[in-house]
Amino acid sequence: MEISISTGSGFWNPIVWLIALLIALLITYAIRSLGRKDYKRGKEQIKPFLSGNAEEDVEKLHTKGDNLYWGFRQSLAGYYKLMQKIHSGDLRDYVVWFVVILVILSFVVFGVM
Amino acid sequence: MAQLTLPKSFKRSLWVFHLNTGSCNGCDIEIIAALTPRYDVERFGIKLVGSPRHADVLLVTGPVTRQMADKVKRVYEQVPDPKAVIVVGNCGTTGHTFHKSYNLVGPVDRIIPVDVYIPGCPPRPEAIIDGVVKAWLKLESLEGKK
Repeated sequence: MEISISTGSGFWNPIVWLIALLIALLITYAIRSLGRKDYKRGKEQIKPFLSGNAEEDVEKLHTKGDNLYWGFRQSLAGYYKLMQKIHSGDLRDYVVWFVVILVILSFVVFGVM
Repeated sequence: MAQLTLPKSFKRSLWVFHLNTGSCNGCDIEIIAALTPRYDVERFGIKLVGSPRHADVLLVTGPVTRQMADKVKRVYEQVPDPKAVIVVGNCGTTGHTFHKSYNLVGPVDRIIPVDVYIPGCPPRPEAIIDGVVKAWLKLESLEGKK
């Protein structure tokens, strides 16, 4: 079975690719084995140097998607504050809101008619 | 100078990490002066590095402010062994003018073990180079014991 692909833009053979990968791994291992082995494992010596500061939890360092809306949240702070207050997380509150809005809509729709 | 049988490690360059723990920068400027063409410590293979993880020697200036205490400990622990610590200047050595200050927890030897003290306010570059050489000899002896 022919497994090589040769086109005008290049050549591909999975066996050659695997051999190249193996050679790269061996070179990586050889370079890594040149490193010092007498460091203190599990201590500060394995942690990155951040100007002496402690390494923070990675999740805290991430920029959340929420940050994209910072401008909206800042300029519409009054609206968001009110909306967050209304959104209590209690299902009974939401049912009450549903019933109240349904009654108002009923009056508007059927009252006008 | 005493005759030394230099072990293998002496053939390496000595890499120094400079840590400012609240110094007025007087000592730091003298450290920089030691690197300038007039003194040029790099010709001996002594050079400043940007990370304690690459360093053999920790060069500390300043009296250690309260905010810096944990950072000094952390940086000291990040320097690979064997290592030497040099304190440059009176502030790091004794606290000097500021020794009773409420926001200082130093001098340096209250926080981490110190091998060489270089007094002066600030010490001259010659004194700093001499201190580094003394630390180098200490490292040699540590290396020799291995």
